[in-house]
Amino acid sequence: MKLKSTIILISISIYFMGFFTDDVKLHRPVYFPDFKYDFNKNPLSEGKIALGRALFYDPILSRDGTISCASCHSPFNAFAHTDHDLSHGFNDSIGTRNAPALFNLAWQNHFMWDGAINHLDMQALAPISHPGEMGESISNVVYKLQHTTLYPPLFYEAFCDSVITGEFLLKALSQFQLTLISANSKYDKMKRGEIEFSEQEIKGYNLFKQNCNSCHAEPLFSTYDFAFNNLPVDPVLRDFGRSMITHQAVDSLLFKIPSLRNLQYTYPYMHDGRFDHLNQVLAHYENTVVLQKAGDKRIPKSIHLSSIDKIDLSTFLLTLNDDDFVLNKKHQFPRDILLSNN
Amino acid sequence: MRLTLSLLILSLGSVLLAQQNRVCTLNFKTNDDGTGSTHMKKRSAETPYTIHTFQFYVSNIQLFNESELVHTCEKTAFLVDVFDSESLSLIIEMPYRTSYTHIKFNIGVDSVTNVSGALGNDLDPTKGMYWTWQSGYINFKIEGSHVNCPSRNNQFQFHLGGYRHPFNALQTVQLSVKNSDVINIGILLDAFFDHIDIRSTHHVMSPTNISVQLSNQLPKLFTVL
Ligand code: HEC
Ligand code: HEC
Repeated sequence: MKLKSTIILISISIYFMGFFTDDVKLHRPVYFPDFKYDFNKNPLSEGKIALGRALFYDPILSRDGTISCASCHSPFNAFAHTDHDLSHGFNDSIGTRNAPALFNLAWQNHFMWDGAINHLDMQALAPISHPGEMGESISNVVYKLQHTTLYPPLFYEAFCDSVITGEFLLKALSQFQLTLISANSKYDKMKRGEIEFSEQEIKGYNLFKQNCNSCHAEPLFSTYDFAFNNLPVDPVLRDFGRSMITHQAVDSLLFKIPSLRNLQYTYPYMHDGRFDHLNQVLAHYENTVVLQKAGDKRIPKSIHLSSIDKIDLSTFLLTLNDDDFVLNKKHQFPRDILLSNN
Repeated sequence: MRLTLSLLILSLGSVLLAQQNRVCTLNFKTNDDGTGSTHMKKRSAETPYTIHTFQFYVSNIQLFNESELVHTCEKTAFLVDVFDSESLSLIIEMPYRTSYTHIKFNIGVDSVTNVSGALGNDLDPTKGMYWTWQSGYINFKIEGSHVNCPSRNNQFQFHLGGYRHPFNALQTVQLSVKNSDVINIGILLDAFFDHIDIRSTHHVMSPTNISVQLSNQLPKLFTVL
């Protein structure tokens, strides 16, 4: 009798394990490196991704209900913010940094321009709690979500639990952001052998490999490490980047290297948005010495670009724009969820 | 068939084991007399400070018999909140017949846990023990006022933590204990203030040298009653 019921119990639990198996696998292009994000700790599922997408676009995450993640990270700008050099938030306060584009986050270990955040899951705590951004607290967001009619069923669907927790909220937000993969630019099509580059694009590509690839390494177009690209410090903002987190002098003025994908959509450029146009960026690099990492040391590297070089390089950089990514409907405001209810 | 059989034996085995566990309760007490936290709330001649927030993490609890490790607690981290009496008692389950002479635990959260992304239960960031603008758990948080504190309303705030070299603030406490089912551990709060010049140090809110220096004193706060 006891044996029989144990067997039944075991088979039921195996059945349910199969039933709840998380089913979504992200597509990793063959020429991309391995993921950095540990999916074992947060296995993707349709329900969690859909929940994360709703949360990303819902201003309920801010104190006065006016600011969502998408207020600063717009899908049509590859999830960057282009109206202002410094991002705007709660109470119209102005931040000290430019909102970076969000894509290929599954290949990154450090977040923010200074790497203050060590894991994608924990990133959302920063804007939610920042008095100048969303001006909220995670515990109050959880409280507010629990008291909607919309969210408890969505959390139940996603996590088999309608009691909302900070952990679930953060994991769902990560899941949506992890699906933001940009891998269908002209460059990607060339890599896959679907098209060929023009002569000028090839020239630009070679210039890129010579001068830029050590930091903006393909195919992600960043090593996602920290570097000094010779930008003078802004005397008002006095932002010293990485060293403000590590308190180490060697890290002074190092910033997280941004990807060069989707530049057409992500202006203004640099951590403080000081350049509006790509030609200003190339003028900055025209005759400069940057510091790049080789092993444990940072070694100077000089860059010289003639005016023809700059044109060729621009032509190559254009091949990194990914229209399919920017127009992907699956990444946009989820009308079906957020407009039907609330 | 063989799989089902071994699963069966495994589950039966764990049922048997579960019935034979030894349970040890680890109680944190804030006063030597064990009556609770009266002096936490009111400043008096003997206690020049009051406390309104006092929380810390206890993690990786291990029991030793002399030098031999006999049990590691399954739950990795407990959040102890001095003003929430339930959280002051930690239940440790171990196999029957385990006996011990020492207990060892961390004050704070180790570096692996600190880089593991979103975690639940006591480690959920809604507990207020996670820095928001920079990743990392707050190991030990104490807020209140002190007569000698020159700040507004004599307020002090200590949020101690940090996991990254050279600001690793994690501390280990090791205590000799009797082989009994209840272990009472006193928190000697006075000792915390003995090691601080509250006139100059009253707000520590991020992982720095000072955070590490203050954290180094924390093991002295814990004693077996
Ligand atoms: C008020 C504007 C604003 C809002 C609202 C906002 N962000 Fe950001 N976001 C920024 C800025 C500015 C940065 C860069 C901050 C820094 O480097 O210190 C950033 C950085 C990030 C990064 C790191 C990207 C990288 O490459 O390192 C992620 C991920 C992110 N935000 C996601 C979110 C999510 C999720 C939300 C909603 C919970 C959100 N943001 C809300 C402005 C905003
Ligand atoms: C030593 C490493 C390094 C090298 C080499 C380098 N960069 Fe950068 N680049 C950076 C860093 C770091 C930043 C961000 C700096 C900041 O915001 O303060 C950056 C920013 C940029 C940006 C702005 C992107 C954005 O979204 O804001 C562009 C565009 C750019 N680089 C293009 C290039 C080009 C083109 C080359 C080659 C001619 C190049 N870089 C070489 C490190 C480097």
